[in-house]
Amino acid sequence: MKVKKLINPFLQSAEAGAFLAVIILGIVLTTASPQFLTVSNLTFVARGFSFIAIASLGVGLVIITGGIDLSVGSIMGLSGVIAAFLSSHGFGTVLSLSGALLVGVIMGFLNGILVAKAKLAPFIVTLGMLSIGRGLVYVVTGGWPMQGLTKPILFLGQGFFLGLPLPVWIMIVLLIIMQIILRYTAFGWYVYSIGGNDEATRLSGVFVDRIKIGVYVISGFFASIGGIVLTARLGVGETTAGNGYELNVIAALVLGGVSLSGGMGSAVSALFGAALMGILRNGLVLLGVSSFWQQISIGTVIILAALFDQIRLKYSK
Amino acid sequence: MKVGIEPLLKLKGIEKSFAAKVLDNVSFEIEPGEIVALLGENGAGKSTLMKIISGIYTADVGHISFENSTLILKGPKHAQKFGINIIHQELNIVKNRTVAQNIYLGREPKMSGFLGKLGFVNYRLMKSDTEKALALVNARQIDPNQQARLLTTAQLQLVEIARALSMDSKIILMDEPTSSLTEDQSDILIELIKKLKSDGIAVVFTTHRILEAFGIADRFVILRDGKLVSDVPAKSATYENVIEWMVGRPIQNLYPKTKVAIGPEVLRVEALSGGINKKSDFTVYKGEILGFGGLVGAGRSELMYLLLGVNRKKSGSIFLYDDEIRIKNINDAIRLGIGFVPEDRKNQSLILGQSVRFNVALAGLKQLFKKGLFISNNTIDRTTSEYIKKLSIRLHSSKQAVRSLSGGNQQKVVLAKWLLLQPSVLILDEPTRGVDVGAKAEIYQLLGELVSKGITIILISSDLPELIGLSDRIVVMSEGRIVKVLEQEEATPHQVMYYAGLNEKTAEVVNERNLQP
Amino acid sequence: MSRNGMKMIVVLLLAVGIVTTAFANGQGEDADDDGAYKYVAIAKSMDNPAFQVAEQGARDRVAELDGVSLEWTAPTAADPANMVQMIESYIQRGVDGMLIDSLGPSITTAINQAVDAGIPVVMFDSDNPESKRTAYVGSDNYQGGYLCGEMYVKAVKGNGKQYIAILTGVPGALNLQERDKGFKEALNDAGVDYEIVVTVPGNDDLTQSVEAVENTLRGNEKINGFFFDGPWPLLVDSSNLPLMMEKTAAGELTVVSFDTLQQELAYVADGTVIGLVGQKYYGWGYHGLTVLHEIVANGAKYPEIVNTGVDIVTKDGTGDAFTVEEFNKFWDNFSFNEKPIMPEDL
Repeated sequence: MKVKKLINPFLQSAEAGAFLAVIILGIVLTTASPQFLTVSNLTFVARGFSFIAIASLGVGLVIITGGIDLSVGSIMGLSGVIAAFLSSHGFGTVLSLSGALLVGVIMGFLNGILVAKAKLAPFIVTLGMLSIGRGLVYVVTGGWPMQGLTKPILFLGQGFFLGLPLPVWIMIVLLIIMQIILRYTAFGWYVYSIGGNDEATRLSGVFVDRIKIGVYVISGFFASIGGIVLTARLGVGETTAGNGYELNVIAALVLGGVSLSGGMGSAVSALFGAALMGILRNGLVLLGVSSFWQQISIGTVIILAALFDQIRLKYSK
Repeated sequence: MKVGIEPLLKLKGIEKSFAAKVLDNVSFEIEPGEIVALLGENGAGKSTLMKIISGIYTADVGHISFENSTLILKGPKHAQKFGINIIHQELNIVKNRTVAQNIYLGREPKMSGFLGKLGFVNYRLMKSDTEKALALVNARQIDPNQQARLLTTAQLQLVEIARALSMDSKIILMDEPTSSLTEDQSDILIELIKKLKSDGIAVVFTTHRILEAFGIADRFVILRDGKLVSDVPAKSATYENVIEWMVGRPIQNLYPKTKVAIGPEVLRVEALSGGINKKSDFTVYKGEILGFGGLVGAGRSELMYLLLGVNRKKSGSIFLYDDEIRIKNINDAIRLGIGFVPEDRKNQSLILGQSVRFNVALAGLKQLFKKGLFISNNTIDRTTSEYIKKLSIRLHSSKQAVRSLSGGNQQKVVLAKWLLLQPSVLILDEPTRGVDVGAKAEIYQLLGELVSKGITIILISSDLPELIGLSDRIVVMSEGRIVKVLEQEEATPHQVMYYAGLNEKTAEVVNERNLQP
Repeated sequence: MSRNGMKMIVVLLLAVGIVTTAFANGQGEDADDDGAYKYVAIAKSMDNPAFQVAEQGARDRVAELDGVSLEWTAPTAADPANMVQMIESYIQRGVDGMLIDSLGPSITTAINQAVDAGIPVVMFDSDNPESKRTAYVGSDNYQGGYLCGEMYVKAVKGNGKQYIAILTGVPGALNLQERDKGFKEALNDAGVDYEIVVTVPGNDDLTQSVEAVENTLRGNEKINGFFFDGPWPLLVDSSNLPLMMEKTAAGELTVVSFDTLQQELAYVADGTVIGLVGQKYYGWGYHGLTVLHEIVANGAKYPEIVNTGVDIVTKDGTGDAFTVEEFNKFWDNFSFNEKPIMPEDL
């Protein structure tokens, strides 16, 4: 049957679960709440999950190589605070942004070096960096929210372009870039290859260590972008910004079909996963569900997504 | 067999099949205090037989009796109750527990009374019992409270044997007990086996070091393709008999060697050392297949790792077309036109979850398929289908996961990955391991075509007929050294095995028994 | 393959099933009777018992009014971005008014969005003065700290120089700094000879706070006064604070603390703590909803800041203070004797 031919490759792709869930959830919410399917609501929802989605794009890369990055929440917070700190000390937009991005890159680089060269477990390294990053946030701010972001930076978070919020545009652009990197560059192939089999990749003449450092740097860089945009959206460099986001990011990736054992996933996974969580949150509020139940339903969906993935893998072999 | 002694264990008509028949109508007997060497090529069924005796597998057909009554084992624990213990090649030791905890793992002596019922372990008793067990294996120097990970492989082996003895063994089965030991360590083990014999304990062991077996075994039981081909007292066997029984089939005609004129020197290695390898020299010529023979652990793969920059060499020089080359990592080797098909297909060669196309293109991505920043999927598709056709890889689609292919086709994918780089030297480490007969023949054919195109091949193989049939010359290694280079005309399985097992200790046995081929 | 496809769809339906069950349950539990006025209250987080008291206050006031429904919610952790998302979602849903506990300047723009959309926003507990919020209902932290200081002065009058330690929560928190400022000001005004030896943070964590108190006392023997600008150490059993208990029993240490949570009362009863000054948690909800509803339904005019005042608890209950027994009864009945604050009362 023709329909089957069309559907099967789709079912075999890792994003299928999250995509279907987004569609079904969308239908359920549209019938249940008249406010759901409105341009303004969807715009807010998209902006709401864009920060997580941006960070997920970077972490996704790390997870595909078989690693993990727990430090993104802290890097997001730190970058935002650094941007606010530099702005408020009169450094101007370009220097403030560069400084904030540089911090993300440096932290990612340290993660990468420690994982690839010192052969430490990624979980431990990035857990340490999570703590260091959050500590630095307090060092920079002294516990106070930092104000004084420049107008152009604020625009990154609060502005609109062609009717869409800027964070959503940034997310879309980064998504396209990441998808191209993964599919059309040697670097992207190596990322999958390392996640599938580290040793075989090394013996095929790939500088595995460099690629590994690269993915942690990219993860730090993307977290930085996410953090800056988040801070710009809030208008303030908050000490708690991004706190605990690493778990949301990982949850989004798992929902999107990225396998934590590496070798599988895509940029689109990150988007669908983050979207699913964002829509779920929004929908639960629209329907007047208590926060307690929101937690429970999000947890349930994560587990079900993993279960779905397991079943999918079993049959696509 | 001496008359009047009742056999301890009798096996009659044992058969076992997994996908194919692994053991076919095997019968033999073991007497108390007898040392039996179970010999055969890889895949002959030795390990399966050991596992059946020790209760890990049950035979499909056949009868086992132990001390004159029928024995039906429910598992290895059950076998231990009868005094049958097995020591695996991969030692069964929990590295982060102490020696005593390992020896009594799962049967820790409990304290007396109520505390014992709660599960409290009597450490003092466990320690003193461990000391006794270690004394039995002449290993008093091992501290029962030492963490197992701090011991050498040889010491761990002794701990395993001590564990077996602490369970009142009557038969101890050892699978390749000396494969990971050095000479001196093997000696200690051999002495111990002799001591066990004098205590009336029967030992059945497998080994690839046939000369070693001549040194200790009372009897040889030889398996080939699951059948028992010989069961003889060691004293009446000659080295030649044993090899013939093991290999047993006509060799030459399976390997249609295409004769290629040998050209000028391509690769020369001088005094290469590092790791277990000591000062190795060899030279390969254009159009030649240079075989590397030796036992597992002789350092053949490791020598290639030094050559390829996978492991760091300590000293030595490498010359390509007479120019000295510096190889810091495998990437350098690839750039210089050296390809490498590693031994372990699943762990060292393939990304199993990815497509055939992905795997074929992986090594050539940078050199062949990159246009500017991006890779050209069109070129990849074209090249992939070209090589799939060339090597007649059987599949539905090049997007199919490599995991779903047969072993032979998987190996062809690996070959395709390297061939599209058009190497001038191709190093193949056990290229036909786990490959069915049909695909083997195709791979042999392919190697012939490659050399006739002027590619130089280095072939490591433990399959003797294959090694001898394909190679122009055979380098034989033993314990990290090159001990002999044989020309094809003079190479026989006996020769290769003889040199592969040659070291100072076995040389004595060779002289005593006049075993030289 | 179609069987496999079926299986996957079954799993997905299961997922949707569970989620919608969650909706149904949640709705049954949370939504009050539908009324003409729909309000939402967003607290700082779900994990603080003070907000349960506030919620009770708000619900009690809802019960007193006609045709009012209230939804009480909070981000699962104190995450400003999450709060912003919630506010945006409620704007989409179109409620009649919002009661919000500010998580800092980050939510300013979201509050402004709501006000711009014609939804009055009343802040409680933490204010957001930079925003266009309609009003703030809460206690004056400076005033509370000042009252603590006055109690302290009365207790130590004529005892010589005071070496005082302050236990705070997360360093830099605005409301806590206000309390500390009020406390010191009261001592200055009374002309007490004192020195603030150290300000130790307990990071809003009970264990860390207990350790901070005990370690400070152990490391600094001359300390004879302690001001807790939050309730943390007094929320655990006194056996965790041996040194503090020993010193207060011997009359070598004077302790005053902020907040009037029920666990703290025992420390006043046995004389360990000379007095408590507490924000009106119940009042946050009760008065917050009163003010919000009066503005929405009746167009009432309130000042920008509506002070709910504070509760004081001492052992003897003289003056404005409650006794421990009186206040315990409030907690037992979960009713704090509040009357609605009308604009004309102010």
